Amino acid sequence: MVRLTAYEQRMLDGEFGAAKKVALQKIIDYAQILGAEELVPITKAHLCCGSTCEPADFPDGNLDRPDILAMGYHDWQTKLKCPGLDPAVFNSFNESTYVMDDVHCCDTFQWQWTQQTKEFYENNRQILSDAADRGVMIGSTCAPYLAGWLPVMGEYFVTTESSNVLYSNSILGARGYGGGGNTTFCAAICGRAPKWGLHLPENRHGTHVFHVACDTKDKTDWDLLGAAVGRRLSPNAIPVICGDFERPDLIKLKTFFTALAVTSGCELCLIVGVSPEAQTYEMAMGGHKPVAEFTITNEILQTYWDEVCCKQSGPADYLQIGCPNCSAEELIRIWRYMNGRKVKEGVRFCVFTNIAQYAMAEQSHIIQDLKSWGVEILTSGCILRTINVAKGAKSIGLSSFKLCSGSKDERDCPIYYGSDEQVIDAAISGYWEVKRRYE
Amino acid sequence: MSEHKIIKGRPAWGPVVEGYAFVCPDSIVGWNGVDVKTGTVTEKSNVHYGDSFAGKIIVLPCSRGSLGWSDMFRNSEYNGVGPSGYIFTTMDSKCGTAIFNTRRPCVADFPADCDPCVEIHDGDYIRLDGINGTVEILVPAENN
Repeated sequence: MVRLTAYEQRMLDGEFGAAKKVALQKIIDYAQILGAEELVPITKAHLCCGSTCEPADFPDGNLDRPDILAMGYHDWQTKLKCPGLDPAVFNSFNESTYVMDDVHCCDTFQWQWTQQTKEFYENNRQILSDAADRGVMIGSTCAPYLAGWLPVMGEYFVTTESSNVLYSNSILGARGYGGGGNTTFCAAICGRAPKWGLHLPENRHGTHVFHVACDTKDKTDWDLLGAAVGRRLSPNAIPVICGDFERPDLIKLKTFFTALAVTSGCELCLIVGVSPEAQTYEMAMGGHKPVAEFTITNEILQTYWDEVCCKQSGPADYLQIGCPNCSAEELIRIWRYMNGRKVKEGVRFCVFTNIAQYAMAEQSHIIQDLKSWGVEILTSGCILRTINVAKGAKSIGLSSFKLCSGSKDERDCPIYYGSDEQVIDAAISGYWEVKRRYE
Repeated sequence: MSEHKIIKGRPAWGPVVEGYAFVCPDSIVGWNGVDVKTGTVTEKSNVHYGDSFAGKIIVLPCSRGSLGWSDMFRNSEYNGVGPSGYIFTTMDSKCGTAIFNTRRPCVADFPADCDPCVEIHDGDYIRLDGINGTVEILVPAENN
């Protein structure tokens, strides 16, 4: 039985409108499924609003299901994510919840480079416009913390992005879990979510301890470390990262969390000396003994590099950086490394970022320079999300464990994995030289 | 008193369903791990790669990967090829959303000494009681 506050009971009675009433009833169902007894107020929500469709919808490159998209945002999103809610009465997300949208299947500015149609693009723009009418800030990013969506320590949030759950819990000290599109949608309408799991302080202590004895200098090291940690976790485990590692910056952390998320169900990772709730090892463990302990070496990291990278050097004609979406700082780094060198003719090289980073980089002439050197700067998605972006590629080079792992499942062409610099080098030469990362 | 093996967890959602177990000890990766038109696992490293869970009772330790995880089951359900019931060693937010979406019977949160991914075998014919939180193995796979 879920206990409601007086305000929540009034909402359930319909005093604040039919949309909130229906959404709250569904959140109460969700609480029962999870085993929660109370609800919490949600003041930050991050959820998919645009054209999010499954890979299975596009077996032959068809751009979308006309039957779904013809319904528009009102019918499609509402009926899909909150069955029983009449789209006609859903006019706004909760007024005191700051809602930003997650990635979708289109670029923000164009459809040509991504091999989509103008109709698909314009339909997506209309869907996003409809979402904006209901109070969504259009950020279209898997890394909303780069665009000002920042729950502070102790603040309750919901999100549809697994790496964002980890970042917000582990680095910001905010409290939340992911769930998925439907529950996040309903939580953003009624401004409530079940008080459960990582909302509760007693659940926010370390369980599995990882002693870092591997390289931690580069972003790639942290990417592979994320995979190594994730693969060793049991359900609802909370890893504690300790040992002699180089202090990670935002770029390394968001990369680490992305690989950790895709290899596990983990939603909180306590990094000793970095996470606000883990300034010491003792603080991270909260008086509990480790369930298991592991030591991560370069030899272990190499096994994950071996898992996702093709072993045979060869031509590369689709290259991508940006998982999660690149920060403005990463755009500067790419700009510095390229330093006027041009992408080889016939090679497609793109960098995914979000609208906010794009705007800043444009003001700093980085976008213009990179484009003139043959780099396409895309927003919102990635090779797994942006339908058709890598269609026709004969081989693919990426700097993300998550994207390599997912691409291997979707495609039969060679997939190469390496650092951002290796991706750029391959874009310039048109050739991926496979080099074993750790000796 | 039943002579069948019974394990007990938390009743997450009712009512009751019977069917063949589809056990994935490493779960299934979210977003692109399933062809939602057929219910077939497309994750190449999965023990059930190429198999369909349509109409079976799926047994998973937890979710894994993208928050599109629950959408895989929502869309499989909409296409008529979803599991008929769900057993989770430990409930997590993505598993909860999968049940929220499909409203199929579910038992979760088993005690530490009872791992349904070990206790239940692929192909066992089982009875999942989402009201009382029990899973009964009616016919072990070796007898099928």
